Amino acid sequence: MNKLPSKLTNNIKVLRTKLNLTQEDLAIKTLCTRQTINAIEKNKYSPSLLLAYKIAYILETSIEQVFGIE
Amino acid sequence: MNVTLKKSIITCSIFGIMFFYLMAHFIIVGPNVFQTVRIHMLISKFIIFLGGASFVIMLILTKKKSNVFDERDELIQKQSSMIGLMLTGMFVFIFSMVLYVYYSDKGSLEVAWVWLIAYSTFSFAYFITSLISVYLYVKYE
Repeated sequence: MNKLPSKLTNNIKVLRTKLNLTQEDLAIKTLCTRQTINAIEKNKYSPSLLLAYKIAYILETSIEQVFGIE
Repeated sequence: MNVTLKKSIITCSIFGIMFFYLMAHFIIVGPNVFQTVRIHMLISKFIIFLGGASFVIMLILTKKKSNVFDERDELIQKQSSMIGLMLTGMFVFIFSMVLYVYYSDKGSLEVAWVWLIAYSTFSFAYFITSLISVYLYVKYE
């Protein structure tokens, strides 16, 4: 049996840069702190499903485009 | 650095100083002197008052600042409270058992120990919980 994926990855930084958004901007729009966005970008913190959807919505894309698993 | 992390660092410093001061003062002078010579109890009470007042002032000052408390903060607070509670329980248990073993032959112990257990537990709980919070904030940063 193949090993199940266990790590969440993301493209937040790339998508954010495309939209000219800073971590602070994204944090304000998703009602969380800049530190939380930074922790998510560095894969040190896995966001809740609600926050993940909020981030995808602000980045004008789908959740699958923002987050992945490996 | 967000406001919640700053609050945790300040709380950790206030109650850390209070805890180590109380323990050091009590152990250096000894329980007998501590309960009979009034000045020792007064100094300790003053330190506790100073710590409590600083904590309240910090809470009032940080309340005015705009603070976003998000899901990561919530997770960190939950984890630190849970671990803090467990460690505080262990602290009281070990402290009481050490006293029990040490004084079991004598049959009784100085009442000042009970005073120390009460105040040290109080300050230890705040100290360890905020210390764990700071650690988790650094870990998730």
